[in-house]
Amino acid sequence: MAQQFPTTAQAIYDVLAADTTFTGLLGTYEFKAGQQITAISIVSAGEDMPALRNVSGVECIIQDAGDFIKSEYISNDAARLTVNWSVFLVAWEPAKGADLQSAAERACSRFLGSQAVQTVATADGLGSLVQTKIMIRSDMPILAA
Amino acid sequence: MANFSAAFGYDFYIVPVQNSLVTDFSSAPTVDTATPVDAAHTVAYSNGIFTVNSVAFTMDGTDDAVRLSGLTSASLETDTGTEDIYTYDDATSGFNQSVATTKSFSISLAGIADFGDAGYKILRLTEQNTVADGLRVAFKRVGPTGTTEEIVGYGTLTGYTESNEVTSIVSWECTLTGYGPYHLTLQA
Repeated sequence: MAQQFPTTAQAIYDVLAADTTFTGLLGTYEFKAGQQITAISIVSAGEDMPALRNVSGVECIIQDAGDFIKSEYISNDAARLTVNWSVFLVAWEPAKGADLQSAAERACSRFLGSQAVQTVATADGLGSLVQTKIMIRSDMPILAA
Repeated sequence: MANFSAAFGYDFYIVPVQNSLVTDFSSAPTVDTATPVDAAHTVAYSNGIFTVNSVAFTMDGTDDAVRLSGLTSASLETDTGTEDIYTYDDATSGFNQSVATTKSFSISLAGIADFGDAGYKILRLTEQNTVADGLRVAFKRVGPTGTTEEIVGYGTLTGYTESNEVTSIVSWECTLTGYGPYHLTLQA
């Protein structure tokens, strides 16, 4: 079977959303209309979730734009683009850091060469305890669950 | 400001040949780059003969060239062997005289491994069977972009090194050691 690569944010979403072990570690979005769904989304940086009333548990935010580097060839071939995708995991109450850790480890287990780093905790009062940034390389393959 | 060129836009072609089917290694080979082997063509090899896209190569240097893609290096290195003359007289003020006696060249190739690419397959099989089936390659390098400088000649693929550290892109290096002279055509 050919190697599959996470070349888009949608590809990362599809892998994580289909991983029941991972989604089992996530919390929920509650919308103003009352519906609840698993807290995983693709967003542009700074974009708000529409009509969102509440987030609880571990939230997974996949940014739809990443950093990238070009690897050139001396032959007349198109450069190879390596995108470094950012996926943020945020622990909202009642989730704890351990829940975030479990979700981050599971997410990283699906992408070869991925790594995670804890970023600054959100200010008190917002309900978020801690967050982790997962970096996923577009030139490393998706791993089987 | 002096003109300069970025190391980009080289085309490097090889044509596998059987040593016994080429009689003249001193003249420049005619490397047919008009219709190079398609990267997606199938490659089979048996008893010193390539079969590409179900067509058997003649292996005498007249087959279609194959372009090596994904190259990160294709640098020419030459060397000159010398003999020192010592006259022990005053004419050279005691200095020796170094006389050039031999020339040699090699080309260091490097690239990423595209396992489905016909050029990669032909390179690997030619290098593997260099000794067993007496294989060499005719080669042609043109470039970089913006210049027509080209070198052509014959060589033997000696030494293949792959790099496959975990979480890296699989890449390779191969040395083409010259067999006879290389022929240089500089930009007009």
